[in-house]
Amino acid sequence: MMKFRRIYYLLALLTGLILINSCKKEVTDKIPQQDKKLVVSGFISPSDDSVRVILSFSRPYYNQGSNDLDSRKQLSTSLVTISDGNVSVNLKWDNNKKYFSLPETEFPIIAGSEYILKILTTDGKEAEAKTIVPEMPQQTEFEVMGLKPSKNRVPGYKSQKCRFALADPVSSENFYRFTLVKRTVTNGIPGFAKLGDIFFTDKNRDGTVIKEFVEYDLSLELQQNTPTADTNFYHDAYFISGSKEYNLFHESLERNNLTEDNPFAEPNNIYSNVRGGYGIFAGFNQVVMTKEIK
Amino acid sequence: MKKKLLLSIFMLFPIILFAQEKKVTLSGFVREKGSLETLPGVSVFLPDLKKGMAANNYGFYAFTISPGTYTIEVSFVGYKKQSLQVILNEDVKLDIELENDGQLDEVVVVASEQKKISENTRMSTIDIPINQIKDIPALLGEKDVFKVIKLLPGVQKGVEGSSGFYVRGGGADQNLIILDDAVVYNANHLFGFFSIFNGDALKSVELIKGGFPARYGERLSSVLVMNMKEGNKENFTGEAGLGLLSSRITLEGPIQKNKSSFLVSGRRTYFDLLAKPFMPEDMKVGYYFYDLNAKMNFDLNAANKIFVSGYFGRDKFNVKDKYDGGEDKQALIWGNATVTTRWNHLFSNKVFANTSLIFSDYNLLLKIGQKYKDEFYEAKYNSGIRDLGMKFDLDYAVGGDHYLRSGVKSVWHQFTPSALVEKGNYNNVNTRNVKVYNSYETNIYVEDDWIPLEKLSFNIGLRSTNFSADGHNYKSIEPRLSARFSINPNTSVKASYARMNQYLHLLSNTGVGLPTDLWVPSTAKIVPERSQQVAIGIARDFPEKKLLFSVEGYYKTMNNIISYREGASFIETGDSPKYDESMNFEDKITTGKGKSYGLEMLLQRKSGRLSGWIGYTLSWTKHQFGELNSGKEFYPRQDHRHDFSLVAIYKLSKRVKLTGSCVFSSGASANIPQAQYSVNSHGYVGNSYSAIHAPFKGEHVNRVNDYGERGSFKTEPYHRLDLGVQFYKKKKRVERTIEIGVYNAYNHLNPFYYTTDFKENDKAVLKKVAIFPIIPSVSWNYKF
Repeated sequence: MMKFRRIYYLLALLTGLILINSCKKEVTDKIPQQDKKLVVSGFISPSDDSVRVILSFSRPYYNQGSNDLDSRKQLSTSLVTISDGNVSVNLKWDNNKKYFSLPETEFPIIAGSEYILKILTTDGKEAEAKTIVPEMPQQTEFEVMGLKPSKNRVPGYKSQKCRFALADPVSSENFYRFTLVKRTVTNGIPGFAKLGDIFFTDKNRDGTVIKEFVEYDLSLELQQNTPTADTNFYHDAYFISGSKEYNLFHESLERNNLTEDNPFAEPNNIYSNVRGGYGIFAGFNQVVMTKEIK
Repeated sequence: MKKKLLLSIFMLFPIILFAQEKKVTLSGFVREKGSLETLPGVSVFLPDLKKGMAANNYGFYAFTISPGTYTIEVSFVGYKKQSLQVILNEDVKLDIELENDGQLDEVVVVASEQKKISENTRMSTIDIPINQIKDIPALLGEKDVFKVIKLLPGVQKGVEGSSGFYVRGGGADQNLIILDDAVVYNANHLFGFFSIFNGDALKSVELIKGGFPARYGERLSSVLVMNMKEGNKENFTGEAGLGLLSSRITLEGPIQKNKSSFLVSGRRTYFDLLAKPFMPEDMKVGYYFYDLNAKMNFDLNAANKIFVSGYFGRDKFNVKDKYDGGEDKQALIWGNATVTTRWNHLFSNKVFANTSLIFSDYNLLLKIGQKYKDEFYEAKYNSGIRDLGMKFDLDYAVGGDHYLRSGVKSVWHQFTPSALVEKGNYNNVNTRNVKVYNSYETNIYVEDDWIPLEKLSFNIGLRSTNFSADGHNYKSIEPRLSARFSINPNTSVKASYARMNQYLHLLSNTGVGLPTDLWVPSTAKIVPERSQQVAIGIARDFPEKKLLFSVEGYYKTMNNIISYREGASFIETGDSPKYDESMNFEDKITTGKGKSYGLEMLLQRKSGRLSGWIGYTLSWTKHQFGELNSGKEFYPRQDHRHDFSLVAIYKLSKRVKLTGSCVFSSGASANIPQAQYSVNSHGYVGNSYSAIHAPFKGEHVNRVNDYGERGSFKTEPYHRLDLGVQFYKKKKRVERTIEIGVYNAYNHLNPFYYTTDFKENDKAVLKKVAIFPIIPSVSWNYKF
């Protein structure tokens, strides 16, 4: 399949030849621009040790200098409140980490509850988002299966298939994310490589044991990890039960990250559940299973 | 049940209609004098009965009427009108020969007459005289049917210079392009800058935008019917042209005089040949395209004729590198091939039948060859679509104010989204990975031209469609109706309704017309596209001024139309395994609905010292997809509020012709980034095989763009003026025309696309890229 992309190399070359005589002219009129908006990033989970919310501002795309998009510090005086409908608590600014946080001990996150996040900046900008935290994934199973011939990559190499399974509760729509990470530990220092990441729902599989497979090519994986005598390898399997907004946001982000350099790709807006701004506030719950790679 | 109903209607028509008084039939073929080329679309009119019809695609006409003496008037643009008197006591077969007006023999052509638009039941249909196509100035002097079609009202342009077109808000894939009954799937050369149709080989071009007769279907928005010339049955003639980009030659003549003939027409570009001497020895890059049209026809006897026609065209782009001990070769080759074999048979004076065997193929081939000393690697990658079909059409001049048509068409579509064959000894590759999908499409139709009253006429039809693919079977009934009511002899009111289905979809997210655009069938997930269209209009003839005027309003709904999901692309650039599943097209597209409505005006003059047209369209097109733009309606790229075109051809003298065209089109809807921001994700999201920080612990910052609502950026209006002058000279045996043209005469930089550049301090600026400034051209044409 790698070779197919030569088509696009050839097309690009042909396009280049056509465009040799093209003229470029700057457009100054009628460019639609979005005003500066609040950007919120926050993920909450009963398995996490704290609630963390990161704030920043967006900027219009065209005709702006390279001012730092990470405008966190100027938002440190904002009022960030989380509520479970009964109790409302203000998050505290962490000047080291440059975000707002609250330890789990002061505001525990409980599966099945709805949480509302409100932000009020000192210059009067407001944003609000809500999410329901899902239950923990049940009866999770992780199996490293046998090697199989690699179908997409260099002939002669093998690919590793892994099986994830969980019991889906009979309920309304559930959203899942399975992530496979290879953890390499040398002298106690870990390194990580993501091997696979899938998002899906229980559509047509409600109440059943859901099985999904993650497959990765050993040829590519080996390029990044040179084994030594003191190195141990592990497969970490992350079973994440996400809220709907959790999955919609990450799926749109994945599409964006995979195609951002492709001029032929359709434009992709990132999902947001933040009223009055961009970004995400989403609940999730997770189980991690580990197997050592022999 | 639906099939039975259709069959009953078909069977009942003749029974009902035969139960009438005794009739006689006047029928025959209309041909061009001097070549015996049959003339489709000629107006055959009986003024005594105020009845008329257009000869069918093979020049056949027939009236079943009461015995008596009648005048018959036969007229066609570019030909001298004929008026004959016939005494009908019994069936009469009358073949008519029309004399060509000739090129510039007279400055003012008085005899030529055009069909009256107000007398035609059909609406939303435009036929374009081939001579006008040849006269209208074009980019680099390359005459192009598609470029002319884009000057018509109701047809929105694609991007600058492209041949792609959008009809009444439909997508570029919603146009059925037929050449001698064969569907052409990719009608573009060089990214659509040129169409594959060589005007020298064409006899007729007709564009149907609405009010579709039941004999046509398969696409939602338009049908473009093109017929190739048959070849001169009396004399050997030829035509040749020499241009800056390409040269072409057409030869035609009798195989057996007055019985059979042939036509061969070829065109080839030559900038690869011109550039070759200037290329370095170790690096050769070349591009060319060619077209070859060929046709033969045989009159076996008065009742039987055979036609065999074919089109073969290819684009080839190749790159060759040589280095010490080795060589790399790559070639990208794409093109169409069509072959149609047709058998015309007259069952009787009133029953005409045509049987066609049709082959159509579009193929994209990537060839890679690498050699280094004893090692080698070769790969071939294919994608395309191939059709094999059979079509049977019957024309039946039943009489009693009815003219019946019916037919059946069955096609086997074979889709090859990807086929890879690799061989090599340096890594022991020997792969054969071919994906092929088959589908079957069958259509049956019945259609009646019914003139119950002198002032009132109908074209009523029913079409039954069936499509099987991927273990699924889709069926549909498509009712069709066109009606005309004459207010006075030169003015009529028309209305039409048509329901259409489309089972094939084109995957393309550039809108440019790349060879990689891929046709795919309807499947279990991707259901057929459906549309309904109503139109109402007024048609008025000004015979004394040879003018036709029409104004039409239309409203079209489209369901199950396809679009790419946000972020989807069929041109992948990354290395993640996710990309290797790119041929799983169903996961990349989403379905929605659309609507288009508007008003079109056309004032046309097909003959005379000054000919041409003025067209104007006011239209709106909106799409709505559950998965796009937050489910809200948006304007797709084919939405242009205003479209204006002016085409003028002026015969200044016997030897000089001035030509010009002028277009204006409102800006199109597009998407550009409107804001940028950084947002954190839960864990790293993107390519696999990536080294990451601690998963789901650290902050993973993503810098992203917001594009606002879909279509919220309007490109700047498109406008252009093209001018040309033709110098004609008739010598003893040769007619010579030199044409000097200027494309984009006032050098307006129309946008081809928009891009972002970065200035100092990383400041983003929006830039438009224009590729066609003022471009002069010169060409020589010879006719012998």
